[in-house]
Amino acid sequence: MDYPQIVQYCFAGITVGSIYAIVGIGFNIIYNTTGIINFAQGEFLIVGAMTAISFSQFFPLPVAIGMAILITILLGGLVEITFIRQVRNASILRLIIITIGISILIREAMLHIWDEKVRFLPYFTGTDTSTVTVLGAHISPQVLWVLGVCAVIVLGLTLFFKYTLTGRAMRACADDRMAARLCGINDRWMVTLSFMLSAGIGAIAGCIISPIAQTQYDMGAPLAIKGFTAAILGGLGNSMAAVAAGLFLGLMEAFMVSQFDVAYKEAVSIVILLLILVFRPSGIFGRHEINVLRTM
Amino acid sequence: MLRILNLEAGYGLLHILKGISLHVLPGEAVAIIGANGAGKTTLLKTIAGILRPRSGTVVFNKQEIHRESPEKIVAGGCSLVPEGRHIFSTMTVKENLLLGAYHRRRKCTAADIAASMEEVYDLFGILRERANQLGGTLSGGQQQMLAIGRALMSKPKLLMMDEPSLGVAPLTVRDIYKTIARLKQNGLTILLVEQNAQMALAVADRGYVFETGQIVLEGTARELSDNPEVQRAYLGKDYQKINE
Ligand SMILES: Nc1ncnc2c1ncn2[C@@H]1O[C@H](COP(=O)(O)OP(=O)(O)OP(=O)(O)O)[C@@H](O)[C@H]1O
Ligand SMILES: [Mg+2]
Repeated sequence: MDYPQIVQYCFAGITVGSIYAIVGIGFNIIYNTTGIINFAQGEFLIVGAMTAISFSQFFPLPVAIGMAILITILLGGLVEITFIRQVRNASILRLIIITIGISILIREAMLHIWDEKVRFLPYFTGTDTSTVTVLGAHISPQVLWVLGVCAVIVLGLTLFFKYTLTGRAMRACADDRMAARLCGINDRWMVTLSFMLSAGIGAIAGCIISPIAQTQYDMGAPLAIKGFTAAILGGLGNSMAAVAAGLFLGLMEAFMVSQFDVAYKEAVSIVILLLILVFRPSGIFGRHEINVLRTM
Repeated sequence: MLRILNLEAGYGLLHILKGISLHVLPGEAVAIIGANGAGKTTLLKTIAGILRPRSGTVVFNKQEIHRESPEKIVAGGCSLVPEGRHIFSTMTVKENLLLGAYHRRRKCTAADIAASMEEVYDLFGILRERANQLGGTLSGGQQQMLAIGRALMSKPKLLMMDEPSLGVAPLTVRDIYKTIARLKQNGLTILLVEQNAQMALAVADRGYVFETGQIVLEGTARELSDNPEVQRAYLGKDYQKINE
């Protein structure tokens, strides 16, 4: 394999990897404020992309994407208010199973609205044949869009959680729910907000990847598994580690494709998941559950 | 300022508070003492809105608050420093304090909040030094100061404190109690729960004695410290008497 080819594979790896990272961060945001693993996270990406595709028939692309993100954010809020919030005193496990139900519900709804056809958003700049040359490799400008937007999301979220009062309030809820309430923070609203935020970044990820990957009603679950792998590989709740884990996962997949066969690609995250389950049985739930117990 | 009538509360099937009635006048410092498990923490959590009472009323500043959410109660001026401090351990001292002022976010300017933070730093100098340190890395006494400071950031009219001396070295306890006395002098109304009855009665005007979810004794701080029952059970005076 020559040098430009290696660069090519690396770009392919970090492109999907950064999408996995965003999905992983989506898991983490909700996990941190609630302890729930939201298995409908993958569906948010597809809803966002599909809505944008439909709107793009009538509106210019940026408007269509903006509206799609907004609608997905509302969907995220709606999911929390109508399902999660209604179940009082439920165990975390029950809530997680409810999110699996929600993901099935959204998937079926999408099947009715958009049927089984594979769709794409148009390329943000250029067409599917245009390329830019980076380090000797020819890559699609959409790849640069994906990397750029993902970087902006990560940076934006970091600043949001670190420096805004609302971001700090969300972290406070994750740290100590009772103390947050005693500070006058409406913890329920923070939970709703975490669902909206996860849905929003999910929709953005769904839109930017749509031109180069396929968008189909049932593509959410595989994306959720990859994102989930990134999240737990990084240690649930740690978003920066999820970024590293997502990129690693993407690169591993690209490596598998380049050395063996596309068929092995899907095995990577499953193998990593199994390894984590075998060697760190407490690892998945480590920190948060312990914190919850400690603050009871 | 605070008037509680026939308050009953508990957890699930557990019935803890069995008809509590008490009051706190403006500017007063009131102590609640009682053995482990008497229900003191349960009472404060119920006033703060963390627990829903089964029956009875809590009137704060002429408004019934026993059906309100904790957010509303804090915004109304009733703030609780919970037992065991409950500071945000993954956040800095400064962030902890800023979150204490959360309910003032729309009513106050950043300058007002910075001014409140200065006041807290003046009360607890160590917090100023440690402003950028994570809450979880503070010592127990410093964490207690942070918890009190955070509650003060909400500009309470009534400050409730649940065992501020818990797990704090005697010398630091004395510092904390000096600060509490100072807050009282500045006109803050205080409701204080303590195991350390001696400390609590020294700073308080009046007190109530709790036993298994009921008030068994009430009076001025003086009356309570002179009461032989209280001395025996909460002030550890037995030993002295035997020696006499
Ligand atoms: N979350 C809870 N769930 C069930 N029971 C509880 C809970 N918290 C407290 N209790 C019970 O309620 C009773 C009163 O507890 P509470 O914490 O109010 O006592 P306390 O007077 O504050 O005691 P201490 O001085 O030890 O802090 C205890 O018997 C305790 O076991
Ligand atoms: Mg207690």
